[in-house]
Amino acid sequence: MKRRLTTLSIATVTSAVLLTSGCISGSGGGSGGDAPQTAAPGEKVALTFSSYAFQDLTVKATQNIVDTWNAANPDIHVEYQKVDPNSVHDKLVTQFAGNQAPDIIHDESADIAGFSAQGYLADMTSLLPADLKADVPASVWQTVTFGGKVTGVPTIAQVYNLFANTDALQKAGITPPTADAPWTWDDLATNAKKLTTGGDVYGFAWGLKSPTAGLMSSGLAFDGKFFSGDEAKPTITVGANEMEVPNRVKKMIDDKTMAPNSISLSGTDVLPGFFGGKYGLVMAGNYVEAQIESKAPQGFNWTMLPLLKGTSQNQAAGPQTLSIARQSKHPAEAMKFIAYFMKAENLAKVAEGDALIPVTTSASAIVKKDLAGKHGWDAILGASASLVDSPWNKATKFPQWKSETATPAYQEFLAGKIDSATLQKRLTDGWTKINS
Amino acid sequence: MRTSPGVRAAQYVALFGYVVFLGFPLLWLVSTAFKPPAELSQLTPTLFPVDWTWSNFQVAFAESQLPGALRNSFVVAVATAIITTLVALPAAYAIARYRSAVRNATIGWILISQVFPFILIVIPVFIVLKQIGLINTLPGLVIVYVVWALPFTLWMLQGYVAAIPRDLEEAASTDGANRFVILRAIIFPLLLPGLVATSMFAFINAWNEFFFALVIIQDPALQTAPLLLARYVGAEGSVNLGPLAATALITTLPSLIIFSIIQRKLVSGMLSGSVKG
Repeated sequence: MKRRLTTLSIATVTSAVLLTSGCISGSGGGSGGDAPQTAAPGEKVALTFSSYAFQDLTVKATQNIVDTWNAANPDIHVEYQKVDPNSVHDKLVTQFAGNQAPDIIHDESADIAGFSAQGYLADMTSLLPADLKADVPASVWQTVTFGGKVTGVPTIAQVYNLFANTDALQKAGITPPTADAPWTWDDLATNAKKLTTGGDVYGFAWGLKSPTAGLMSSGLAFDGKFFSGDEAKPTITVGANEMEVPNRVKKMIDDKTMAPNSISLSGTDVLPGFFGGKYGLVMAGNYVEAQIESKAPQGFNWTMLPLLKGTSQNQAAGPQTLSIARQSKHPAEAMKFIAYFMKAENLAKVAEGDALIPVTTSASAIVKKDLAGKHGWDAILGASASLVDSPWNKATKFPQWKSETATPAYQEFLAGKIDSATLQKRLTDGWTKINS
Repeated sequence: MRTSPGVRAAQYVALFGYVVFLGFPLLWLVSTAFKPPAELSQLTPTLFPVDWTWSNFQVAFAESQLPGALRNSFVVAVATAIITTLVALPAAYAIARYRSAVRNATIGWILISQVFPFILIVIPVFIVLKQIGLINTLPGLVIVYVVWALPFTLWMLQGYVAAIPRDLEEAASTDGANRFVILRAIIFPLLLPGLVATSMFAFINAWNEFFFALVIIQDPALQTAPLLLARYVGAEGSVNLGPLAATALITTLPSLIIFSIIQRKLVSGMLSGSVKG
């Protein structure tokens, strides 16, 4: 009885709060606010731009873009609001619900899928300048197209690649691969074995504390698509292709050529072991390059290796994005700023700061020129051709499945608590339940 | 009864262990704040920096709005502590001293209010603040913190009031003291430790709070210290450890200083309550 009363009280109070606050509106997400306007000549427009740029150099590059824009465009003032990368989603949810969203939003394709479905983001299709549209590969535009509407401009993207201690490779008699002849996953297993010298020195390490993104993205090289059918509500298949990468990683853990403790570390937590000669090869998102660049001890020789090959070198694109809130009163002006942000020299600076791949051909050319021959950058920049729109990018319930089902299931599998068949079943049943 | 030397030694060892347990995180924070990037990435970290550096502090001050964030946090936390205590004090006295149906309902309501998780109320709170023009303002943040801290502080304070014997009030009343004199001369001095503890709770709550500040504050000039600290933590576990530690150390200092000042009051208040006249 007490429990029923408590529940009733909570329900009553919650309803009262929601009603008095006007939260229950029944309208779609982006319907609040006035109709979009184009500024009259001479009218001053103020735009807000929220960005989760994290690395020092990227923050500086972003600030510089905003400052130079404001200096050149006194009638369209952009205010740069910094958001921490781990709170972007939560902050946006509240801002959208309160009709207080920034005009220009820095996010990523997987996150804007949900906001697009809820109608919070403007359709930018008719606003996109032709030269910008032509500068980004069609496969990357696919990642930001939801229900036929482009709701984000892709900026920079990440791949998972190997970082190699070149001195360790040389000592083990291993020749680093080239972009034309990349290593396969079999080559990785063979070379990890050569680099494993016993004790606590392992050939390979991968910080898999959050394993889902890396394992699934890498699985696309074996055509592991996981999802098919309706793009927002797809069905799942966890077959042999999808299990290739998890099984190979598990095998390396079992034969002790991969550091077993690395599965409980984050992508950057493995760096001290890498610097200390404990791991010869490390798999990580290529953003780790910026961390290595600033933290590696003097005399530490390293390089990035080309993407590993399965049946292809495909990986998930999942680029960072710039979107316009549907609540924005000045989408045309917001698009002008985004076009300025995407100018080759600006995007190149942002990409170099974050050590990520610019998605535009023009910015990619600048980065290639700036970083030619440095730490294997050429091969990584060439990887943009291997970026594909992942089938889970637009699945509305994917973030929930990832955190509630996939991540714990992969962790248990890699830790040896469940077998391959159980992992397949957990992933499949989890999706079916969440997606029903 | 005398404590034997062996027991006394064991007590000191236990006390030393406890101090190390409590103090080590702070020591590690200080050490990290003064280490250069290369030392922060060593496989076997050292307890103290080999090459002491101020560079992390330079980054903390040069590339962020740290002074502004500290000022905002201080203003918000002090205002929250004062308002919460002022509102909770008379309410706690009434709840503790006047037994009625309203009292039971109030206590029940206080307990129920603790059930609500942040995530349930954050959007309604955001919308209410927006409607009254307090989004993106420090007063808006203070109101939320006061409302959030009030139930627990009220609960805490009424416990302190209830612990003061009624006999003292009755004796003062017999001696001719009116209600105001009783409150000022009898209750308030005895309640001082409780008031200090309550205000400290409200202060620390507001000083550390992150989520409400995240959603309510938009203007970079109005951000509080926890928002600034969070920006040193990137996606997938990447952390700007040196500047984070330096900023964390700086943001810890005001809290430590205020705590040490108030703590004296806390102890003196407790002593004054314990002396027999």
